[in-house]
Amino acid sequence: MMTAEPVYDVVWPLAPSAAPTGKLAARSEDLRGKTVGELWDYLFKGEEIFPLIRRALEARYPGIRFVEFEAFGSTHGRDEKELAATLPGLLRQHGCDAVISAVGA
Amino acid sequence: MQQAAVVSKGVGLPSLPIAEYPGVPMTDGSDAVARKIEALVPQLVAGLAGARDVALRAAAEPAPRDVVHRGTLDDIQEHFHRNLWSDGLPIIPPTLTRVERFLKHTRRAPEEVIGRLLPENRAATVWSIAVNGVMAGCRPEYMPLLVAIVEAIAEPIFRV
Repeated sequence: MMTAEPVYDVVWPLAPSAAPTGKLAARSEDLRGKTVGELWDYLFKGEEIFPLIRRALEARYPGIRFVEFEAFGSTHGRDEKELAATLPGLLRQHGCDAVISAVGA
Repeated sequence: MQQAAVVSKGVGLPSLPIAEYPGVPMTDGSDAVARKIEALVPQLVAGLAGARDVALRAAAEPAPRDVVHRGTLDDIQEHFHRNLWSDGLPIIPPTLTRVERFLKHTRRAPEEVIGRLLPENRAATVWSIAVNGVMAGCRPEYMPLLVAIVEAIAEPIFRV
């Protein structure tokens, strides 16, 4: 004899969002002569990928300059909070117009 | 990729441009990495130059007691899996009756916010802790411990 399979009415498992509302920084329309900062978590082949990105962008945008990831240190790990706190100042100090961050998997 | 999108939304920048490397760089040889990065340049340029905030209309979210789905055990598993509401393991269906059974084991109000949790940056409430306790197969009397665990992981010193 077949018995009917139970049916369940279920509630939502998430909770209200507490995300802040932010805005993207203004972008340059043209990357010629601009400075791009590199932020990396020292994982997932960034040491191989960032140089490839540099070469590709340099070929397309004369005068583009890069502040390489070593200038900032790892964005992941024990010191990440300290880095995050000092990052706005560091980016200003290096004159970054744009940033590539989080090369990852 | 989904994680990057969830994190950018959680930090309040849902329009943050993301360039997606196809595949996994760790398992690609140097030639493949070089080829894929070259193909990724248009995405990188679009993100670096000219990206704009896109007005995203936030979809209305359910109230805690709203029934969001009705179905058999298999239907519920599939629905939760498809919506990324579970970690992929089997769940106990969170019905109102089961959630209320958990709430009887705490004196805290269901709407009380215990902390904010990443990556989505959502407010963990007593209610949502009970719902997730049901889903995980906990016993209702574990509720005080579940609240304490969420309090602990919501502390900034706890990082995953």
